[in-house]
Amino acid sequence: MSRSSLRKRDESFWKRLSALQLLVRHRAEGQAGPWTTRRVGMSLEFAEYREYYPGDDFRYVDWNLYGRLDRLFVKVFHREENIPVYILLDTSRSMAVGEKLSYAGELAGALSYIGLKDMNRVGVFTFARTLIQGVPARSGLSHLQKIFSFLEGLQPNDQTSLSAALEEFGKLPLRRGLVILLSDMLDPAGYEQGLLHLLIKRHEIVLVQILAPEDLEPPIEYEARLVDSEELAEFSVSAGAVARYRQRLLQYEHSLEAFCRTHQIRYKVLVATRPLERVLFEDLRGVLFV
Amino acid sequence: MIFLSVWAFGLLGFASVIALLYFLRRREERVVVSAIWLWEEEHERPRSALTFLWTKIWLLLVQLAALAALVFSLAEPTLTREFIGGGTLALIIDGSASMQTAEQGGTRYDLAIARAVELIEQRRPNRLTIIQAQQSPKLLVPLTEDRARALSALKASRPTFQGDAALSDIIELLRSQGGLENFHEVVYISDHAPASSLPIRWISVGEPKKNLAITGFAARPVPDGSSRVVVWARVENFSSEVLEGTLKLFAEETEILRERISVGPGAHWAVEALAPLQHRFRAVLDVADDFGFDNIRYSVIPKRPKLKILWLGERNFFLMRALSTFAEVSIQTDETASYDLIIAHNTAIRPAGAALLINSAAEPWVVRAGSISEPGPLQVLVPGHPLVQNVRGEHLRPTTLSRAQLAPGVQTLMASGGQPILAAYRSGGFSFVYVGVDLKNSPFVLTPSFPILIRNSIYWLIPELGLPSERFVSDEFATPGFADQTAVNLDPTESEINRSSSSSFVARGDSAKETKSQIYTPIWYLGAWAALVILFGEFLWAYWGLFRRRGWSDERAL
Repeated sequence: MSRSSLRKRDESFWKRLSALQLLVRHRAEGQAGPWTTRRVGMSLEFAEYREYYPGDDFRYVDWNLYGRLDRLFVKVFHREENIPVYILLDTSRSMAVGEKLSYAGELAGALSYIGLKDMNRVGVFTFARTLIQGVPARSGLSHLQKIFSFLEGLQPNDQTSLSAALEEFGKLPLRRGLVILLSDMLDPAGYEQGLLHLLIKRHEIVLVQILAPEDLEPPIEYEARLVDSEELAEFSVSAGAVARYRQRLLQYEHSLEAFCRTHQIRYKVLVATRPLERVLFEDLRGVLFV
Repeated sequence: MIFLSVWAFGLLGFASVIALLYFLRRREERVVVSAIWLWEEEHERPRSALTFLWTKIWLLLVQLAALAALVFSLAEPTLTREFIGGGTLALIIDGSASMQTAEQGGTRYDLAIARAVELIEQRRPNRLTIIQAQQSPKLLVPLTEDRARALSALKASRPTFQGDAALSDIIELLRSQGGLENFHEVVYISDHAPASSLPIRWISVGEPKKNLAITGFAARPVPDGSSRVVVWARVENFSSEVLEGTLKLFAEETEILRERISVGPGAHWAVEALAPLQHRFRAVLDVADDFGFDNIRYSVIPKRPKLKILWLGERNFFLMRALSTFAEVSIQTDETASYDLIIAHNTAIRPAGAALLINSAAEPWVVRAGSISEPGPLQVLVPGHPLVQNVRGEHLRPTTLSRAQLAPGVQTLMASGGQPILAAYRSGGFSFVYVGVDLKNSPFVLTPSFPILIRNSIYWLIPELGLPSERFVSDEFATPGFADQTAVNLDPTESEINRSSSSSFVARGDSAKETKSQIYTPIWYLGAWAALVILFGEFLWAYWGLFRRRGWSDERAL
C-alpha cells in the first residue's frame, strides 16, 4: 500500500466506512462485540424458547408456560460478542503483476478500520511460500496506525504456496475468527488443502480474489516471450494462445468458486483497477459487509 | 490512366527501407504473467525465426500501402477520357495555296470549312478560337464563346497564295490565348499532316488530284557582254499519271518559246532559252489539271545600278565585263572626282572609302610579299559569308598566288596553302575586299564564279545599293500606285497537292478523320487521401489498442 493512498483519503470516506459492519455468520467466542449470537448470553434481547434440558439455569425457565403447558421451557437470549478478524495478505511476486499487491494493501487497510471501529480485534498477516510476518490481532483504533505502517512496507517476494502458508497460519495459537484472505489465488499447487485446514480450525473464511487486467487479458498482439512473475519458467507463445489461456483461467475460477460454495466460503473476485469505493460500498456488500 | 511524373515510382525503393526497419524493430515482446502454469499447454513454440518474421505483418503491409498511395499521388495520375462536348477548342484551318485545289465543285478550302462547321456544331465547344494557317498565320477568331460569330468569320475566310505555316507560329498564337493546356482539343484541318509531335488532331481534306506545275523559273543576263538573257524553267508532274501541256515563255509580251511537253508521274522537265535583255519574264503552262495557280510564274531582272568607279592599276577586260552584267559602269582615273568605288588591279593604293583590291596592296592592311607558284589546297574558311555565296572554290584555284600579309582584323574568307585568296575588312568608313589572284595569269576569269564574286564584292562594299532579291511581278496582283507591282509566285511546295501524310506526325485515334479527343483529369489527390486515411487509421488502431489495454473494463471482469 502506498503511503499516499489510504492516509490521504478525506473524512467523508472514513465516515462512509464507519457505516459498514463486517458480516459474521458463525458463532464466535470472545468479548462483547457488535455481533449477536444465539448463544444464551447476557443480552436482554429475547431470541426464542427451547425445551429445558437438565443442567439449564433455572432462572431462565418460563414458569408461565409451565403453568399452561405443564412442560418446562427456557428463554434463550441473544448474546453480543466480538470476533477476531485475521486479514491474510498474499505478498508473493505474482501479486506484483498489475499492482495487485498495492490494491490488496489498500483494501486490507480499509477492512482493518472497519473491524477496529467495531471494537473487534484485527490482525494482518502476509504470506507467500510460508507465513511471513504480521501484526497480531488487537482491538482499538490506535492499533490501526500500526497496521497501516505495516501495510505501507509491503514488498512482493518469493513464490506462492497457499496450502503451506494457510496451514502454517492454522497452526498458530489463535482464537477462531473471521479470516479475510486477499490473494490472486494463482497457485499451481492448489488452494484446497490450505482452505480446508482453516475450516477445520473453525475459522470463518471470506476469500477476496484480486486479479489484474493483465491476468484477464494478457497484452499479447503477435508473439510474446512469457516470463513467469515468480520465475518458474519462460517460453514463447503466439497471440492465438491467449484465448486458450482465458479458457483455462475461467475453468480455474469456476472450480475455485465451486469449492468455496461447497465449503460455505464467501468468495468475491475483484479486478485491481476497480475503484476502492465501489468495491467497499457495492461489491463486497453481502459478502463481507452487512 | 497515365502518369505525368513516372520518376515518382522510383520512390517505391523506400519500401525496402521500411521493410528493413520493420524487421529490425521486430522483437518478441516480453510479458510478465502471474501464472505461467496456465499457459503451459501452449508450450509448442518456438517456430523458426524466419517464420516469426513473416507472420502477422499486417502493420508492415499497411505502411507499404501508405507508401504506395503516396507514390501513386506523386506520380500525378491522370485519367483520360474521350471528350464529347463543351470544353475549349482550337481550330486550325490550312489557308495555304494548295487548299485552292479544285474539289467536288469547290475547293479544298470549302471542304475544310464544311468539316470545321460540322465539327463545331457536333462538339458545341464552350469556347473556341480559329486560326488560318499559312506562311503568315492569321487569327480568324480570337478565343470566344460566340459560336455564331466564329462560324460567320470562318465561312467568310478565303485561302491565300502563301506557303505552309510554321507550326511554331501557330503554337505561339495558341499560347497567347491562355496557353496550350487551356485547350481541351486542338484540331488541324488540312490536305496534309502537320509536321509536329504535339497532341494535335489532324482532319484530312482532299483527294489525290492531277497537277502539272511550273516549280522553277529564273532569268539572268549572260555575262559575255552580249545583252542577252538566259531563261530557265522547270516543270514537275505531281500526279500519278502522265500529263501533257504546252509551256510558253515570254519576255515582256514577246513569246520566246513554245513547247509541247509530256511529263511522267513524279518526273520533271526543264528548258533553257536565250532572250534579248528585258526586264520582265513570264512562264505559262497550258494544261488541264486541278490546281491552276502554279501554271504561271514570273521573273524579273532588276534594273542595273549606275556605278562610278575610280580605276587604279592595270585594266582588265573580263573584270569590265563582269561589272557591266549588273551595273552601268563609268570608269574614271581622276582621284579628285567623286566615285563610288575604287578598283585596284596589280598595284598599291592608299586606303580610303570602298575598294576592291585585285592582287593589289593597301598598306598597312594588305602588304604584298612576292608570289607562290604552286599554292596548296584551297580552303573556304567562312562558308556563310555573303562574298562567297554561289562562288565555287575550284573555280578560284589559281596557278600562281601572291603572298600577302594581312593586318589584324582583316577576315580571311578563302585561303590556299596558308595564303589568303579572298579577304575582307570593314571598319568605319573604310572597307575593302582583297582578291589574291593575278587575273592575267589565272583561268578564274573564265569561270561563272568570277562575275558572281565581283557582283558579291560590289554589293558587299556598297551596301546602299541593296542586294536585289528575287522579285516577281504579276498583273493579277497589281497594286495601284506602284510602278513595279507586288510580285507573287507560289511556293513550289504548294504544288504538291497530293501530300496526305507526314512521317513525323503521329495521328491520335484509330483514324485520321477521328473526331474524338481526350480530356485529362488529374487524380493525384486520391492517392494523397488514401495515404492520409491509411496512416490515420493506423494511428487510431494503435491508440485504440493502447486504450483497450490500459483502460480494461473491470465491469467486464465482475
